[in-house]
Amino acid sequence: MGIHVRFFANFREATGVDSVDVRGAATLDQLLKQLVAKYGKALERNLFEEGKVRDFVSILVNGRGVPTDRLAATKLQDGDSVSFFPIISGGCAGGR
Amino acid sequence: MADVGVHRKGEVDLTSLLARLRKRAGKDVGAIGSFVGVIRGKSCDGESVRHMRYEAADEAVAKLAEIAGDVEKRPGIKMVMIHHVVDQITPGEDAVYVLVAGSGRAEVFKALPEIMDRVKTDVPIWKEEVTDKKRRWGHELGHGKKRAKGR
Repeated sequence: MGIHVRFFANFREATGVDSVDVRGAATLDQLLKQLVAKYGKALERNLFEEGKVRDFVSILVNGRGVPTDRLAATKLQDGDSVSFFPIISGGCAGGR
Repeated sequence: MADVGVHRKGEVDLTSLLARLRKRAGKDVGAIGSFVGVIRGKSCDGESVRHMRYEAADEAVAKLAEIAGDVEKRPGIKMVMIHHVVDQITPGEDAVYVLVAGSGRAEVFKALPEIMDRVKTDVPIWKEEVTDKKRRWGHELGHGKKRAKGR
């Protein structure tokens, strides 16, 4: 059991895995810290810039988007599913 | 139920979506608007694009349905369709279709960019651009849409 974490796109490249089960993270903030401790600088660079979550990072908890300013307030429990992916972004200014 | 989907290339097209929308939306509709996202042949920095590769997580369809459902609750909006192609797409080909039927053009024109903004930031679909020189994730392209503060 534990929290099931899935990585997509650049996050998959940074960790080298599709998914991992994590134990002991009571909040999303704690989960990110555990993941950075486990996967190191490559993941940290993809998640954070100057201590803040990067603009392009999207996090789903059980399928629902979590605002990146609500990491500490987002409680987690065994059986939860957390996904990391980059917003689709792209396109030149004003385009798709 | 929202009319949304994630498709492989060739499984969806604007003509068939429009026909379905006209059939389902009924006769109270005074305006139909559409947005088609098309792959450009040049990247933002002028490189020739070979293709874009889109991928999606399982939750993508549910998020598209959530967005369509939210907009369909608005006064003046009758029906919303959001269909995304998730595949390797070459320049000139379509990546996404958004169609909105409503009572008038004001409601429809307002809804289209708002839907696309949410699709770009809230839906677990991402893309990789492959040019003659390099490959980059969508968020690395430099001028992309950033998430609205607090979302």
